[in-house]
Amino acid sequence: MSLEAGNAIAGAERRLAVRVAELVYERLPGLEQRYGALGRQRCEDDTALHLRFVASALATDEPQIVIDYLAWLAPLLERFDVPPEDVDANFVAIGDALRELVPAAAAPYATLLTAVFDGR
Amino acid sequence: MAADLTTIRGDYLEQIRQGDRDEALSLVTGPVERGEIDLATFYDEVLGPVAARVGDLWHAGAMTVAEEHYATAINRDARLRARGFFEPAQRNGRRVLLACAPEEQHDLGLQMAADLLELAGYEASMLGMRTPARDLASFAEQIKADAVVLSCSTPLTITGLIDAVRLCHLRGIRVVVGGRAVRDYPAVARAAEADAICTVTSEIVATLEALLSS
Repeated sequence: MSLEAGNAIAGAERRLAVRVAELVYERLPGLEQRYGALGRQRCEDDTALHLRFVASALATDEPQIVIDYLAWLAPLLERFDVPPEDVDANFVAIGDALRELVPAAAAPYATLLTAVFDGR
Repeated sequence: MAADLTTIRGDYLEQIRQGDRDEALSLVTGPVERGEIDLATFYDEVLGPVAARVGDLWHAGAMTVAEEHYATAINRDARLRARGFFEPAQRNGRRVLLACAPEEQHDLGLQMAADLLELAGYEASMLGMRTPARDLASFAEQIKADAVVLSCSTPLTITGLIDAVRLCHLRGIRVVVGGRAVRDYPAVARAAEADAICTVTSEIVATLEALLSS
């Protein structure tokens, strides 16, 4: 169980969300045009939400929490015209941000992400 | 006459969607007032499922945020009205503190649990939503709670739940955890090292009885 990793992510949620949004916008330059001025703030807010589910999954060693969350998210993404690839980019960026800001959580997160993608 | 719960749920939700609050409340609480269903059954089989259905409708895009808020408000009113038909038992000298997991924003299940405990003679002290874990545990100690009941509906709030349980345990206070997230993911209660689990509202009294007599 990665309770420490879950707590570390929960404790650094806002810093991580900001950094993830920076990374995502660097890697997908078209986002600025697609989502406008409020888009980056929404990206940060959405990332904060993703991080809470990630923290919960790590704290309980239960990848199904994130698998179910992504399944729950899918119809909302479709309704708001957000392509699934944008969310995938977000989750990849979370890994990169963790390596920078919360290195102790990086390996548990990588293990979680593998389990999530295997379980989808 | 036995109440047809499926019909009641459906008609109630339909009245809500029609925007007729008074009719919805009259329809849904009538069977309780007439003694056709008891409060625990009303909570487990009517209000709880309707609340879940409202959430599903919003998620599917069939209800707007405003409609979902309106439905939720009526559901709260229905709970209060139905609760008012019953008198609590004589106090049994036990006090329970109830709270949502820190950051949890769904409290209907917790409110229903508090109602049932009050009716059974417990003093149910309600903190509701958004109480930080440290304050929650400190307050439980301050009021000499015999137990704490924590509700966790969404997996957003599990690290907060675990922290709250830990801090209560440091003060020698036992904790019952419940809510949809606890029901759906058994790993939550394990990780939290909760003293008891209650994921069916109507079982809260029996759960507390068993815990406090052990």
